[in-house]
Amino acid sequence: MGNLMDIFRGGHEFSEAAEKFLQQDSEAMYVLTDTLNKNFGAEVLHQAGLPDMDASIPDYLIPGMPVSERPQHEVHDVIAAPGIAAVNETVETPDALRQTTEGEQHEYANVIGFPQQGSQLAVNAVVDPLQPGAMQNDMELAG
Amino acid sequence: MSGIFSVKAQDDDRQTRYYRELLRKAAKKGGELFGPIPEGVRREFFCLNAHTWIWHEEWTDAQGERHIVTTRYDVRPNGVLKAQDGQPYRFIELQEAKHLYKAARIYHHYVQNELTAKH
Repeated sequence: MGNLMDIFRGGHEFSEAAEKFLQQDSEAMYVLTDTLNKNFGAEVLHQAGLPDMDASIPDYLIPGMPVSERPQHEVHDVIAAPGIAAVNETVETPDALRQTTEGEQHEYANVIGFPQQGSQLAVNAVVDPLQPGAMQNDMELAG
Repeated sequence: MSGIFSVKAQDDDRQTRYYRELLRKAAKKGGELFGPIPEGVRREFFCLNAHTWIWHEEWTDAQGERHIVTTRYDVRPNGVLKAQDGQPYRFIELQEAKHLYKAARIYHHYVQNELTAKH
């Protein structure tokens, strides 16, 4: 499990990056919890199988976590509610990206690297999450 | 003076690269939360920023055609908006909210555990 620290190479730069990462993750969890609680009530927050925050995380399968033997792109019951979302839509270029701002597209490309060939998405510059606008043409991240 | 700024820029650059690597690795691990990943499938689930969660999926169908689906959950005060390929924004319903929360909670637990235990 412990591969997040595989990139550790010492120095304060890593410590600061890790600190920011933790901070953002915690903030996101707080925002999500608050929103879901206000809009759906405690039913969403108190579910069987949620990890105890003080316990060490078990293997990647948590008891109670919805799991399917089917390919993920057919799995409607993991996140998307059954019958609502056609997760296996076959769209070459993610339309969701075309609905986003240019800055958001750059953020995605920065992280997960969408294939650019044949795509209508053209990323010419990457906005870094820490230093917006600071890095240009960082295409190795989107390859 | 320029030397000081240069060192600062190098530090910032290194910090940025570490941050990206952390995000990539967390995204990969996040994709494993939903069970074994079939061969040829790329799956990632991660927190992009304080208000955005991403589920990204790539696979090749029986005809050899590559498919990519990205689902974005935008957390707003009045609910969670879902944006998915070729579909309009919509607010998620209860069941999907429960699944999203569960996935996010496990992801969060993993990240906290990894970075606070050994950091």
